[in-house]
Amino acid sequence: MFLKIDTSSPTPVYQQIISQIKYAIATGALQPGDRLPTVRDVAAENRINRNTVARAYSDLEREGAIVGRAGVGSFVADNPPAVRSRTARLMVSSEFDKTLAKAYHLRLSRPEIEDVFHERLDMINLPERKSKE
Amino acid sequence: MDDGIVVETKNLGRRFGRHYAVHDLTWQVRRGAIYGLLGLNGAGKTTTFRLLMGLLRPTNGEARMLGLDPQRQGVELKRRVGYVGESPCFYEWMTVYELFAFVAHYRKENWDAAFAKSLAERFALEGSKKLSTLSKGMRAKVSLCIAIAFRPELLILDEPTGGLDPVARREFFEGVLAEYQTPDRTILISSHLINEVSGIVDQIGILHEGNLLMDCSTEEFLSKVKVMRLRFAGDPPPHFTAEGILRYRVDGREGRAVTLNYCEGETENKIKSAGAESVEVMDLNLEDAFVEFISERKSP
Repeated sequence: MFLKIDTSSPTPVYQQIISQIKYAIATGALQPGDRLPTVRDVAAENRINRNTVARAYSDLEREGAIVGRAGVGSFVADNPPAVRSRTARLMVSSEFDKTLAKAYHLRLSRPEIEDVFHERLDMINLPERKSKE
Repeated sequence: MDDGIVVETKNLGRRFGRHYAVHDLTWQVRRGAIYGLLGLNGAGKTTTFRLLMGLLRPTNGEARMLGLDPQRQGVELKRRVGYVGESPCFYEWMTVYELFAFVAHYRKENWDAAFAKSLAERFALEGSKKLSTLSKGMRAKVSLCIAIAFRPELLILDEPTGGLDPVARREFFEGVLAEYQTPDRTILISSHLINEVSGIVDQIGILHEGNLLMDCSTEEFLSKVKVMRLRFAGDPPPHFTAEGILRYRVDGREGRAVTLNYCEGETENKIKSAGAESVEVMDLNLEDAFVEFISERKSP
């Protein structure tokens, strides 16, 4: 699992770590039981403070997304599909918010926005998926 | 000495002729921090570090490193503090391993020869090469090896990556983080390359013309320094003032302003009460925040 932290981004580093790990869990790149890279390795590879990584890991643990086993490491928790689905919805919602803010600044009307949305949705040809519980 | 304070200065000052390179510095660094002393070239960072290491005598005030007086307990200080400066001075005729052996002699108690060797291997340094044949990047890595091979409690890095190429700079910091940093050790680093250290430092101090203008956590600094876009009902006014707002200027159809004391909600309210219709707050990275902060202090 490869984390790419941008220290020159205004987004705080611990938030980048949390987002990227949650994204990996939501897409299935990280499966329940998978071992996360150690705090030391993440810190060294990305040239960030170990405390920052430790803090992100402990936040994720508190949220139940990962489980820490003393002396062994951190592992992805047994996230039921409902939790993954909720995380995924939250992430997509925040992306939508950014796009909607842009659309507002570009002075699109609500019907126009809905038009664009349906147009793109039709274009993409998403495979059929059962909606999660 | 366990109040957790690893570096401490009281009214520390150093004058050269009539010019104060460091002026009345009262300052503390706590154990476990990775503290970044930031500032422009000539701000007084290197002078401060030389005072801390006992390489310069203060004009006034005092400093304590691990409770030790750099002026009177310099020998013990150098045994317990690792130091990497910008241009390492070696005996050029020595090989890497000869230098290790030389340094080990002065650090008898804590020098770990096996660790030093593994560090050299990590950095791909050939032990039998003469120091005079090494590139700048390799010399910096040699400096780092001898600074951390005796596992000091405190590591001072004074512009350690000056003149290094991007790969060497990354390898340097990867080495520090992978091989040295633990919760009970403290790192004090000075740099004018802000974004390079922005991921690493959790505490920052901003030195400007010999004065410490800011001393807080990185997070707190970034929460307070913001750039804002202001929109008005009509065209943005040529001048605009509100409490805490600095350097307002017109930018197309918007106003742009800076605040060094952002308080969520309160700042926006003050701006709106002063006549703006809407406020968009922009987060800054450490380098941009530093530039905004220091621009306020620089003489026009």
